[in-house]
Amino acid sequence: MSVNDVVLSSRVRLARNVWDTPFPHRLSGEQSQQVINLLANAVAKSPISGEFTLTFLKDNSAVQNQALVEKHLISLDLTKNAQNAAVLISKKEDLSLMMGEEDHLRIQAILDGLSIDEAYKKASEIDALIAQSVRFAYDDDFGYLTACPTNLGTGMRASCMMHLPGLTMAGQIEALGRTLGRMGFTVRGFYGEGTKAYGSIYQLSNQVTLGKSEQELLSQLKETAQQVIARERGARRLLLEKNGIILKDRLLRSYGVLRYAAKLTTKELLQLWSETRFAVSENVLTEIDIATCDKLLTLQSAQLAVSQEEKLTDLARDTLRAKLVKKILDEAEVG
Amino acid sequence: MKCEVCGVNNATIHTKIITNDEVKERWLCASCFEKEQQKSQSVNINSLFADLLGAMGATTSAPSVTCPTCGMEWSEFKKTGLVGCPACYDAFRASLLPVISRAHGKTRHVGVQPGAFAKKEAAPAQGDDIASLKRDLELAVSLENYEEAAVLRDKIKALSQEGAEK
Repeated sequence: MSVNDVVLSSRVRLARNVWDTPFPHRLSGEQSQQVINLLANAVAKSPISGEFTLTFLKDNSAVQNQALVEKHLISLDLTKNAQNAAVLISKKEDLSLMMGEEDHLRIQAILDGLSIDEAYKKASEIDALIAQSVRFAYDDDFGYLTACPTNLGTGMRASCMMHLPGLTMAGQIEALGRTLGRMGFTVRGFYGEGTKAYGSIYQLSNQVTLGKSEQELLSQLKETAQQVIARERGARRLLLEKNGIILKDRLLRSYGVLRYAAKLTTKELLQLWSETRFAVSENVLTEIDIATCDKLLTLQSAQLAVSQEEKLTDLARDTLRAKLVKKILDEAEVG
Repeated sequence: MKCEVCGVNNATIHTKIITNDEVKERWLCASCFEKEQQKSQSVNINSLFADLLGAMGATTSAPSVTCPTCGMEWSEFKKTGLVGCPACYDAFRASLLPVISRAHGKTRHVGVQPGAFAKKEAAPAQGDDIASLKRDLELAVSLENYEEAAVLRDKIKALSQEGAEK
């Protein structure tokens, strides 16, 4: 049974560092460049080199980098080191190799829905490929060595992006966070560590990376995700049962605003998207489907700015956003 | 002789700890000795094990201040939570073990290894070799698991004797 009413996407990230080389925060600009060249060449020499594009963050505008963050292809942390950072992104945008973040290399695979195993397979294939020509820092006890001890061992952070409007409305997210914390998992905001949960979107990921095998961690994440899915669905149904028409009215009004607003900020978009998606998932709203809902996520600020040639004022951008939302919803309702 | 703690009462209790060539002696009065025992049983045991570890060449005292490879200081790690280079894990191994144990619960990698450069075929299970037992003993002492530490100490002793006999 599909779980995309709750799970948006799955991601596996592997942290790797080059043997005998100081970690990024202790490298000069020149040394950072050398490490990036070493890693980029390892990919360039491989059979899959044609699938990747190399971008140096300093060659991008701030808006272009922000767009990559919105698409979850790079982290906020990478943009903070923009002068000495680069990223290799696959054509399908399902794989990104960040260079110059907290570790020399962070391989990341992102796929829609609950596809943890597939994401791991993609990430580990790239890992094995690069390892053929680059020696990674590794210790018999501590496994893959990373700048922060919290990433040692497998160096793997596996996560699911989940939409939890039910648990958020029921005020149960904090309690969930505590329960999951005791089981070795964390729940974080939309853009990862240290970010807010806009649109009731949370990232569920493993906390421990050492002392358990990759397969154990992946299984545990899948099991935990299933439990969170069940709780979220339960929360949604209970809320609708208890609040009946009052809640339905609120959700449908949100869809109404989305449908007819003349201008929308990103924050408003995420909030309205969240309530609309809740309504669609519980068949309160039947005019559109989940896939259409998720198309709206591409209309966040930086991605919108990048798609336009001229620079837009905030008002112009918000107006454009509302127009594009309307276009997407028009097409969906007719079809 | 007066008690070395209070300097008032006569010292009626004499403790002598001998490790290899090193001898540590203390002279205490009955009440100071009792107070010390009550305050923390572990204090005396801790010094016992510290002496034992000292004799075995491991370190539980202040960590080496700087990493010889990248020059990072332990104090920097305490501020940033990041180490400077892969070799820091060797330089600060003893001090990092409790940090790592707190973060992950375990201190031994059991997952995938870098294929081309792997030294062994499979990830080793929690080994019974002396080196890994010594590391476990260090960790147990720093976490105050003294029963565990005693068991490990005895295992190490047994293995060393076996090794000597061979």
